[in-house]
Amino acid sequence: MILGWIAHAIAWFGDFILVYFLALNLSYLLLFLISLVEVVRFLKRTFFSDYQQILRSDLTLPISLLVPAHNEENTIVDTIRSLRMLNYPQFEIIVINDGSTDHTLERLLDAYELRRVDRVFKRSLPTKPLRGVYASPLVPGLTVVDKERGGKPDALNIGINLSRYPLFCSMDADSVIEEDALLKAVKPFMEFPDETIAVGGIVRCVNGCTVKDGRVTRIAIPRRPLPIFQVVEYLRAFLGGRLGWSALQALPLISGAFGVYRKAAVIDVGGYDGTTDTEDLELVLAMHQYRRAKGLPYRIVFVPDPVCWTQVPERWRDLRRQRNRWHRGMLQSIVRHRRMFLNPRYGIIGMVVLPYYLVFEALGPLIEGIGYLTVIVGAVTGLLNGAFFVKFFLVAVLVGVFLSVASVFLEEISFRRYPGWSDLLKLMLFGLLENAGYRQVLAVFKLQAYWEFVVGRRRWGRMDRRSFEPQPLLDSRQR
Amino acid sequence: MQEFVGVLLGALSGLFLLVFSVVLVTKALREIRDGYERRRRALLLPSIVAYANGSEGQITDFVPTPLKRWERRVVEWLLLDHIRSLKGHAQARLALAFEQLGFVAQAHRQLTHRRWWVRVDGAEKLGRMLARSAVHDLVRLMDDPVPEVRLRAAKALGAIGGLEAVETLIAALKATDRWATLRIADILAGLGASAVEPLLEAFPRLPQAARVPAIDILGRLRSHLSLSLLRGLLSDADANARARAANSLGLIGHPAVTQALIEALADPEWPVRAMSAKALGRIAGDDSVEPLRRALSDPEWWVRANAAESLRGKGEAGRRALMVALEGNDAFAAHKAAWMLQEAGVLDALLARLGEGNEDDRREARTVLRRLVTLGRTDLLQDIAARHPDAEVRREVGTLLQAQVVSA
Repeated sequence: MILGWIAHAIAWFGDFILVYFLALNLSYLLLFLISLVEVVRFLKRTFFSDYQQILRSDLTLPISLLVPAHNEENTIVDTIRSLRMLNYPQFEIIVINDGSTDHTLERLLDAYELRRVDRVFKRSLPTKPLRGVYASPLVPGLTVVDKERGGKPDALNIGINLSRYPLFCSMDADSVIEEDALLKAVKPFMEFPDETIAVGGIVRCVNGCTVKDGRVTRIAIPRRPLPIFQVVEYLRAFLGGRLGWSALQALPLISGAFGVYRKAAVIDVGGYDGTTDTEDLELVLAMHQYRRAKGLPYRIVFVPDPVCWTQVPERWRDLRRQRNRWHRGMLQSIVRHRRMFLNPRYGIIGMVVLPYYLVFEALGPLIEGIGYLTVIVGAVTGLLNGAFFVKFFLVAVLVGVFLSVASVFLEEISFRRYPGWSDLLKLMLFGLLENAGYRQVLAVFKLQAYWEFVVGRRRWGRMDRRSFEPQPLLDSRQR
Repeated sequence: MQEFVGVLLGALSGLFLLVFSVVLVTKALREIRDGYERRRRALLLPSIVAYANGSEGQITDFVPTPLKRWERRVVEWLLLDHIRSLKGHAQARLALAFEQLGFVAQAHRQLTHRRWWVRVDGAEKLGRMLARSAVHDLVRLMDDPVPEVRLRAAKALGAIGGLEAVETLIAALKATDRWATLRIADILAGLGASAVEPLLEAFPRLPQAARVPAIDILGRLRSHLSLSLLRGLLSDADANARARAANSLGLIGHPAVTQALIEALADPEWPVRAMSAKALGRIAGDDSVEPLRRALSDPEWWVRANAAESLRGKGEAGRRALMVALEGNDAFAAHKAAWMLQEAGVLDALLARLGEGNEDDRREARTVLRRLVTLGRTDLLQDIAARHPDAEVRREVGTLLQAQVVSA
């Protein structure tokens, strides 16, 4: 009797999984095809770039760069050095020291001879108390804000309050932005100034690359396997995913590591929200909801060319924290914006993007987990159809491999940042290998996020950062 | 079901192998071509440099003719690359080389191609080749249905220059696409003095939408010939035109328009007042100091902010006006003045006098510092009290801050 029930459940679940699997992979394939068309179109449009004209034009919109920093003593000076070399006509840098307990502020004070100033600014967004504003006589466009710990969203909000320009760029303190990235990211704002409210660029892994004087001088695939898996994953997510969503005018996320926003549009939605764990996803969804509810025309765009190089976790522990937070944040934002779910008033965001995110992204790991459990139960009870399972598993792996290799293909026909044959072959090999363990481990990390989401646990998920450049040896006193 | 999954497996394997092979073959082919082009470039570059710098002979005497398909590509890109960095005689010789090798004719043919990106490519190349013979066709291309093509044609016309090109570009300012307008404005501004008179002449006939970018261009061209028109526009019915005219007058920076801009500080629209305040900061002379000081009490934040910034750049007279604002009853004006005085280094100068000056200097410095403490603008003072190199200054500022704490 019980065996009969189990057999029935396994058969039912098998059918469900098949349908789910087909729907999921068809949507992936569709997104990939849209991305392919978009990459080709992008390349044709930018064959003769206008970037030098944008650089020279008096009409180019100035940008405030907001750099929230919490315990970033190892990277903060390198980051500022890299930002100062950006190729852009007019910009200011605002570093927000968000209650660091290390020497982040001292590093900045020493490097740029900062002094406290009495800056007058408009408090458009509420934030945690400010401890002081510092300016540098050496670097006129540099402002450092010291404030009580309030998290990245709060830090960005105070940066918005202090910023002088109509556009701002949010970034991570451990990232390196390529020197022309702002010129490339600002183009959509100049093409459609009334509609464009946010532009995201591509984020690539800096691990393994050589960074000198705040610039990536040699691009290479990391040596350790864990970051290589993430290189493939990032390529797939950005070139094979976000580009497609952007073409459909349905981009749900701009990475917190690099995005340019129209300040007024962000203030309209109350700035960054500190009550979710992924402030970047939350902000973009909030802007979609606000604009669509009011019937305002807008564009949120992904541009595949401006590159932000960021450090990715090299240890499983850091990766677990990061992915746990990302998944928890996604669940929080989906719940927060449930009003848009299947609501035609919110167009493609309500009818396609949110259902897709809920069914495939948010619930995917759960269904995958139940699938593995079913296989184990089936194998133990002898109800598993071995031949079918093997074929199905192979199909699943092949689809994964195909999507990874297809993303490498997009990279190869477009930007070719990894020039060597060995890099290319490594990327393809790891696209194959990620299905044999890495993907499953990520699913486990995400499953943990469900529990934390249910009990309402919040934590940022700290990752240990390394300095971009080799540090001089410390003497015994410094140690 | 099993059969379906089996078919799926086969199809996916095939697809995977196909993409895998395409990636490898694409890369291999590209590397072969890149290698060939690199070698040919190294070989042909000295000949092209010799041709450009020489005064005799045709390009066909310097490069092997007839050029093979891949060689044509290399030579064309070498010439296109070099012409950008050359001027005068050498540039003219390269422009001639494009004609002699048939590149101009080839790019001409591209202008009528059915694919828009081929037309874009043709227009871009003709512009870089400085092909005067292409002006008529490029003017025609300004009516292309694809905006990208129109922009490239505009860019090419800007590069080639000449009256017909300028007039076409001015007419194109009426484009509804803001990006196109910005780009054309940039191109016209890049043409320099040759664009001023045609623009002034065409201005009365321009539709309202084209006038605003035209006003901006006149400001960027910084010609005194535009002063009269722009001054008149300060009383235009359109507030946007008035604001842009004020900005352009500031860019030109001629003192003859100071009075007109001072009057514009009383405009009913705040963008006009804000732009006038900004413009006055760019024009030399002290006549605007007092009106700017009064503008520090304007009801609109941007006008006050711009007025303060302008006063900061006005030297001693501006400093005195900011000092007066610091002592005044308008809290915002006082706070903004405090910030501007800090940014202008006035506070540092006062502190130096606190340490080294005579008793009058010290008294003045103490008065200003006390006012800052009363206003609560003490961040910089706290920094000074902790880190200033002069112990006397640290002590004085520390005492002032302490007195404030006690009275609080």
